[in-house]
Amino acid sequence: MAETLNVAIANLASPMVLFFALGFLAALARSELSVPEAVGKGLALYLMLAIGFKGGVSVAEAGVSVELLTTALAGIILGFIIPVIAYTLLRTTTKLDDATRAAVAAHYGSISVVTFVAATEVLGYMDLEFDGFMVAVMALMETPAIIAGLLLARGAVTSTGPETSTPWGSLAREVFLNGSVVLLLGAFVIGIMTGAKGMEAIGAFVDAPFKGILCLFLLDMGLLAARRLRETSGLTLPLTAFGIYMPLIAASLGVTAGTLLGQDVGTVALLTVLCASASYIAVPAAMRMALPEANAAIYLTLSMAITFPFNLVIGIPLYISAAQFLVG
Amino acid sequence: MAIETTICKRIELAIAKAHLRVFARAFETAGVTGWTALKTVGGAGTSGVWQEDQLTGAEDHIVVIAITDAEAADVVLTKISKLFERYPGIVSVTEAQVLRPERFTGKR
Repeated sequence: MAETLNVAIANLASPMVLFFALGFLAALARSELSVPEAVGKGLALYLMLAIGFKGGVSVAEAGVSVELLTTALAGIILGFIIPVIAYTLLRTTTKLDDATRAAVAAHYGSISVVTFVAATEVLGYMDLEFDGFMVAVMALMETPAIIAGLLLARGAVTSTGPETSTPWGSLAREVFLNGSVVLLLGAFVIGIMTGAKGMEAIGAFVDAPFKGILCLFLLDMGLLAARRLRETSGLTLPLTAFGIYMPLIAASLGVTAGTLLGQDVGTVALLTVLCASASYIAVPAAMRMALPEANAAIYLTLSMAITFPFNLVIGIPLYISAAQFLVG
Repeated sequence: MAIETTICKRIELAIAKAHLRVFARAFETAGVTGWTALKTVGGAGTSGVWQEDQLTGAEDHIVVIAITDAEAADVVLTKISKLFERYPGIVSVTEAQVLRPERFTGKR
């Protein structure tokens, strides 16, 4: 218990959380502070490249193992199960329309790269190691939830004429070849191919500035989250509550699965974080295309302005503590 | 000497950027082969206030402008009104005076 508290306090006092809080408060106070849109996008690309590459190098050193395959399979299965749970809970606790409910469910079944990156930093601070293949698991967990969301939304399509039908070709490209999946997996493969030599060559780029760039990105996330919270109408109390209890439910599945697979504390904690996080990069774009009927303001606000801050500030230390408690 | 112009229809659409391909298909099948998409920075609508957001891109909107003859404009509007059963957006039509009217004739 004392250790959990220490982790929570250390997390709250970390530059990551403090920069996020700075952005959040600045936006609430209507400060003019802003990160140029293109810079924010560039920072996200950098983080994906760096985390993908470092994961690949780590796998090159440790080798491909059975654990990678079993954890990836568990992640994919959880990516299908979590949206169904989210959809059912939203149906019983909120008045969301079918399409928005399915879109929200898809967001919660998918993952947040930055929540994962923040969790790896906390694990590093605690000297807890984790398997590098979790980056691949993360990339593989991005898309099953999108498919689950589309299946859940089958009855929600308001018009089915040929003119208004979903452009499936574009959607498939968005689902399987979206920028974050391509960059994460691509950098991961490059990391495996180049290994220690690759790290020697670009380590100065992917390692040294990583924490500072993460802080700048989190400052931007704080600004975006607070602005979204300020400007969105329609976020009811049951919906806000969902944004907090749903990550906890998904986390309990993740921590159980990771423990049953016999993973180490760090790897279980990361699987838990992946289950608990909600997407705000890959899934919104896919849902906008596939479910135009859904209210984008609702699913973006929930994942960016409720669940992301909750996971960053409270969730990550909680999930690590749960992994420590179960794995021992 | 006054320059001679021809009156055409100017169709202006405000839609989600993610739906551009769907609406572009409506223009193309109506024989309107020329259109221009413009970036926007923010606005407000039935879902509240939105801003350009390159991180998610889900709420990015664009304005699409096409100029064509009256007959093709009618076809486009019929197709767009069908699309509005599912896709959000607004459309307006105004008259525009153009030079070189042959460039704006629907290719049907």
